[in-house]
Amino acid sequence: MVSRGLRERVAVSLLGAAVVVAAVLGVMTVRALGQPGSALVAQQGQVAGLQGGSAQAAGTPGAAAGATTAGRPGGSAGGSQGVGGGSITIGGFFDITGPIDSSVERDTVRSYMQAINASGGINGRQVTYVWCDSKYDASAAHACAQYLIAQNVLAVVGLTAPLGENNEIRTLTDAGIPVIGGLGTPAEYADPMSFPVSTSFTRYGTALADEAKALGVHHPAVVVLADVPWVHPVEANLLNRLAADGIGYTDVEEVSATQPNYTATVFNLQHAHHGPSGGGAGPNYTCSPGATSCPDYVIAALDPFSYHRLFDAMEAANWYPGVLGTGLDKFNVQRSYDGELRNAHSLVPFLSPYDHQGNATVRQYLGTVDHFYPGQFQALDIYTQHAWTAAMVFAAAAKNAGPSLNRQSLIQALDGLQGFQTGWSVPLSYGPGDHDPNRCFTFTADSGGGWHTTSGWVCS
Amino acid sequence: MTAFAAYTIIGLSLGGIFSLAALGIVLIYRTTGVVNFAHGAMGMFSTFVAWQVFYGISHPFWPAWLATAVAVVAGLLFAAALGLFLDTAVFRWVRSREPVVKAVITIGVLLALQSMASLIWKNNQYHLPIYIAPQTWTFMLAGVPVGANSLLIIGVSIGLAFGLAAFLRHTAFGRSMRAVSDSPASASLWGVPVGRVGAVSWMLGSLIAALAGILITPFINFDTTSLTLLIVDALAAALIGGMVSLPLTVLGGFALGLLETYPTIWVQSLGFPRLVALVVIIAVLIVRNPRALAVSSR
Amino acid sequence: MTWRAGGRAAIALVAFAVLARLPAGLDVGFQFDAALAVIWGFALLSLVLLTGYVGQISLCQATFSGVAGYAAGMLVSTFHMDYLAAVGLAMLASFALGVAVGLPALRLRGITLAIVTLGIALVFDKYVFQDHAFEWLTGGSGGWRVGSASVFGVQVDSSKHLMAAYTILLALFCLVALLMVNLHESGAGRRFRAIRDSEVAAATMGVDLTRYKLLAFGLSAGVAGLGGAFYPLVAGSVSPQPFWLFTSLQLAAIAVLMGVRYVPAAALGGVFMAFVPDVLTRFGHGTLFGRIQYDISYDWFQVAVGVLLIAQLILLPDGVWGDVRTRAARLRASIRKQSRAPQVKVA
Repeated sequence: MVSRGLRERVAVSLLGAAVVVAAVLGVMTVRALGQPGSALVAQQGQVAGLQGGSAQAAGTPGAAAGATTAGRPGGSAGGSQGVGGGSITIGGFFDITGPIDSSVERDTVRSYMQAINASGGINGRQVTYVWCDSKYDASAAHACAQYLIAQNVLAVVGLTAPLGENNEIRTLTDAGIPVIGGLGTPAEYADPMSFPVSTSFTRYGTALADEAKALGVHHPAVVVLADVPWVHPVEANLLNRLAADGIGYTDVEEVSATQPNYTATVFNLQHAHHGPSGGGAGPNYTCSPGATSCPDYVIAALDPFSYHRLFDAMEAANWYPGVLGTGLDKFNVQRSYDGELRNAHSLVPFLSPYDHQGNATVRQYLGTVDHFYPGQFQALDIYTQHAWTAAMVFAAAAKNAGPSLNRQSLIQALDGLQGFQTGWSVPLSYGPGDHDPNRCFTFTADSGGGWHTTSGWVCS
Repeated sequence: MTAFAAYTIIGLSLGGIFSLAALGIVLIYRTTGVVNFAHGAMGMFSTFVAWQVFYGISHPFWPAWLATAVAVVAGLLFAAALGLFLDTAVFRWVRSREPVVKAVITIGVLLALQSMASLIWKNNQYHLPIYIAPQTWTFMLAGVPVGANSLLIIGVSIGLAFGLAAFLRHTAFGRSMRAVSDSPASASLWGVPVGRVGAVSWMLGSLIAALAGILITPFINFDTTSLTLLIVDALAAALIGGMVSLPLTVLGGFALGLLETYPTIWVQSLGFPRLVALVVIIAVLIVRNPRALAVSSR
Repeated sequence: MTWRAGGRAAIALVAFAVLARLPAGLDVGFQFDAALAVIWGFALLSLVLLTGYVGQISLCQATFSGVAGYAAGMLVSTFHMDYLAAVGLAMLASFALGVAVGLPALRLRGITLAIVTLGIALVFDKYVFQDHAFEWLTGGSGGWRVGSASVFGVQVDSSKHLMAAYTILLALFCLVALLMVNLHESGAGRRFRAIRDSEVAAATMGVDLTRYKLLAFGLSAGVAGLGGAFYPLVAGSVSPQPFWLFTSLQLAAIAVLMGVRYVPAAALGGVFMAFVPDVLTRFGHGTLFGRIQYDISYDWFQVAVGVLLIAQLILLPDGVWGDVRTRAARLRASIRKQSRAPQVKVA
């Protein structure tokens, strides 16, 4: 039996701990070594011609080793209001542990800052990025907001936390910290110190309905994510607008982001007549029995992984209606769609990287992320485009604010941005008061050969 | 009315999943006396290993079926090693402790395995599960697609149920496994190599968990928590079988699958099936009070 | 008897005085952790009562905290109640839930009870805390937002007045801990321990199993609920994640790890649960030698808890605190023996 002496016990515990740590680190190392960056891209053939892009990354590659992106320990890392001597401290919180992993958004912002640092920083100051893990939980998001306040950050740039963001915008702005970027939750558009870069989620609902009309959709069925708090206004907008446009829809399904199996959902989309639970018009059309192409479209407002599960279930049921959604293009999910995308449409507030390889912003974005975080390259999607744009807006405003950079001067510089060219969206204009600079989408389509843009900017 | 038939099909597919998961739990309980809360986590870890091998060797030159086969074999080999490791490092030292203590230890195993899997295989990459049969092999029954993979699960659970039951009852090794779990002391007096039997029991249990994991993963989310959470439904099915009878466990799994699916015709709720599972657990425990568990609990 | 009770009260007061000032110099994030440590300390205390004193295993203590947290949030947001009153009612709610959970426990023991409580934790996590039907309780998926409140006349909120929250929570914790230790020595406590040691023997000696078991579950849920009811105030909002299934499992693991029969183990466990993940998040990532990036995330913490639990159950059945106590007792005994040993003079 195991000896009960203290030394033996300590030794055994340490040995056990060492074995476990070694095993985990070993596997992590093996995986990291085997993780190809651009090589996978070339193999996939989806995003071609990238190899030339890395050289375009801002600044000289390889000089990045000096840039620090680690959070500094202890009290106010940021000096006075995030700016001290030769450095600027900004931050953000992201859902990292838990069902959703937004570390790719964090790394997108970090890569931007590392590239900036490599070419001299902002007005000579190096940028430090402090981050916190909000664990897909509203209370942890609050704790993260507190942490960022305690770290005395100059601004919050690029935060991505579906459950917690909405509530914490207020917490941050109450502490005097401007917030740049975000997913598009309602609170971002209702605060003079919040500077969103993308379209409000509520507009997505109306835009989806309008695109349905433009595409000639006759009798769709609707499926939306139900377990994020601000989805009900989106859903209501969508359904009301469909009704106003005279499009009769047959069924509304509300699903969870963690729902594994869409077999029953697909069955319901084809045959049932559920209504929305949070307001919005109910289904007002019933397919005549035997009509095989009814419903003819599925309008879906889901996250990238859920789209794949939906397509899987549709394929298993041998049912291939058109699909209209938002943000369907994510590299590493795209790979698994294989033959399932026959008639898919997506609307996005930023130009799709798939068919804009020559676009300077796209090249810089893909190249920089691939250079600093090659392991994250495959995870890029529409929300990392949000994060990159937020980083762009921050850098531009901070440069404009000049040497006397503090929260007030930054806010003034942000408000002063008019017609700011991001390169892959409509020009962004801010100003005093609440901000809603980006109200436009482009439509993209995929009929099995990759995504291509099918419209210009459609604005509301 | 078509909804009813369709939901019956869906419920039976779900029931197959529960049966397969529950089989391993009952097997481990009968051969080691441990209620293995970490069963789903063990299966999940082995499935990730299989996936890693599959992802690592997937290559245009390898035919898909070969890559799948190699990956599955690798996963099962790892599972056996994991079972052996758990027995040697953990469960060998607590063979004579109370069942509650052993169950709490499995909670520790659950937490450790799950977090290790999270560290190694992060959640930002979409993991495409390993499909034994292609997803497109389906036929329509009552308006619902029935896949080859579903039928595979149902077939494997029924086959395993009878196969394992026969193994435990009619082979010498099977009998010695049951003897060791009843009383290690008496078994060793009879000359049964307790250590070796215990190790084989855990290896077998881990193998079944891995097999279940690989077969089930296409139907649930392929992440670090979904298989772990399946434990409650699996336990419910196992309890219906009294933690003793394997064929009854399979029946219980199907019954539970149907019970969890039918209410969703009327109640559009994602958590409601969990309530059904809980009610079943409580009902079974109060009505039947499985003697196997009652005797060994304090 | 009274001398010992007085001694215990003195210890509680001193502990409070010492611990109350500790987080004063730290930043807001750590102050939040300190308050959270006390909240989890309450949940662990409830496990000490239920599992340590009465021997009933429960894997759903976080659920009781969660129910009280949501109830408090709901009462304050929907009915604009005074916060203290809301806490009281929330405690009552979790007490009632505890008694309800105790009902099946009357017939079940050991593992079967564990399985049932596991099922309950999962049902509340996935269904009650997340479903439409319970929006009146949960406030929808956004949860309730609680701003500032006045508790015992002191202004408390989740950003500028966290020290006040911590101090109040700590005072309540010391009080409840004191009550629990007194309970341990009292008549009811003896009956609880009799149930733990052997239900059959206890019943033979005339202990009313039904009443005491239900009481144990109710009290335990109420204690966990007391902590949980303050959660919305401390965190500013309440959501399902802090009270999900894995938290309940973690609580059980940490309680056993620290020593499920001892009250100070609950305090130790609370500090462990609240501070270690945050410390890891803050200091646990960076660059070694300017080249190797390391990132010790929350998952490492969970791995450590799992492995430590296994090791501890194999090696130290009494938990860390139990081990410390045994050593201290042995040390005291050996010192006493030495001081009494006759001085042998060698002529």
